[in-house]
Amino acid sequence: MPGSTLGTGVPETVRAALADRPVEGQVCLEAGAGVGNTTAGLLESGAGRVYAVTDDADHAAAVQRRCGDDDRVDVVRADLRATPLRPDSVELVSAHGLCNLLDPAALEDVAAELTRVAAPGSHLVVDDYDPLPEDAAVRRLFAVENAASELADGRPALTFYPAALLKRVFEGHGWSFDRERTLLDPVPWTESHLSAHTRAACEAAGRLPDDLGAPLERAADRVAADVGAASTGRMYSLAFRWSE
Amino acid sequence: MGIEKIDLYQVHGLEYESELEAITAEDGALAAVRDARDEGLVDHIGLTSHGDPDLIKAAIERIDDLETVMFPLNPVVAAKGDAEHDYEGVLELAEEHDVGTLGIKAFAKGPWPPESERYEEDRPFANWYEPVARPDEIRERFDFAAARGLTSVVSPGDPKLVSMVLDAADRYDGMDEATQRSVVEAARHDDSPVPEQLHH
Repeated sequence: MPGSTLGTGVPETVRAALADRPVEGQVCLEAGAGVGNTTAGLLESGAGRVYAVTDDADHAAAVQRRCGDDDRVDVVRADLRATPLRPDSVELVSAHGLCNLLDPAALEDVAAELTRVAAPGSHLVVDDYDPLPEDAAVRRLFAVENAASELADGRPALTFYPAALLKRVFEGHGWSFDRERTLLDPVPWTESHLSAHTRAACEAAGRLPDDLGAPLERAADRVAADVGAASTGRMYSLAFRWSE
Repeated sequence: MGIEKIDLYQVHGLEYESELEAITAEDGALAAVRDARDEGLVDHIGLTSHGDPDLIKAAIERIDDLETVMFPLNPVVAAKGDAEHDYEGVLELAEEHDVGTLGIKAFAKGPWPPESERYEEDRPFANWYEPVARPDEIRERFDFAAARGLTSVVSPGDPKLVSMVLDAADRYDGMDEATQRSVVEAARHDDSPVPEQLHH
């Protein structure tokens, strides 16, 4: 197989989600490309082409750096609600850890767009997190992050959709449910995750007037220190087929 | 040594291709070990390495009478997910060739702090790496290594840790794949602070 990205740190969650999907030779789409973990996983599994779609310039640059030498990769800077991809042009769509970043309105629009570009017979993999248990301390950090985001942008930063809900959303767009598997149980929320979420909360709070933002920044720092790294919740993988 | 026979003779510390060639040469170390085996002094032939996984795989392919390989396996190594740390691939190939596997460093936490921070004689454990030392951590590491499919999980050198490892082994009841991935994910992010990620 061509390319310099084979086996470069593909997370086990990605490998487990793709393990029972036909990737070899397929035209694939990583929806919400992050640092390109799924793109790297798709390339490793022999994808014919991978469109890594993200609206974030830093993420696009990161994926380009990581996988750009492989001529099977196209990094596409686009809003996932309206991509430049042609209808019926993709044979495998992966949304790994994407949906929790979408509020319900955006989730609906992105689901419609992913369905539009999917070819007959294609596969869809949606990996995400169940809502955290009521007693999970890390919920407090996400609550501060969401409060800052609601006040700054009018929408939550994070929404953890139950697996059953995402299943119904994509079935509602015509996808046939194939299987569900557990990727992580429990989910490790490490110091690295906590600091990334604290930064995101502070960044949103920083865009607010000082009297609103400053207390939220302090709350984020305090809660993150209180919470500490913990493993809780579940990450799941849903797979669907498109059959007409 | 006061023994009549060595059960398992391991060629230790394979690191370079040239060493593999030297070991497997007509008059190399393996020839001597085979002679010893033919004389009844050695029962089984093995190999150890914490070097390039591809080199260990090459050894498995080239040495027909190799019966065991010993190599590192723990969540931090598994989390690297690249060719340089593909000891899972070694495990897989060893299974295909019916070669036994001994996993070392299953209980390694990381390197010791440098001498400038703590004198070697002040280290609390007689290991050349800093081990995990709490019973729950040791149990998680044992369960992980055993669940990956190793023939043997090798105990850490310090006797203070061995009783906890034996206790973990007594209680072992498998570890499902979602939990194994959870352990790997936790190690992946602990070990690589950049780029920081919001997700798994």
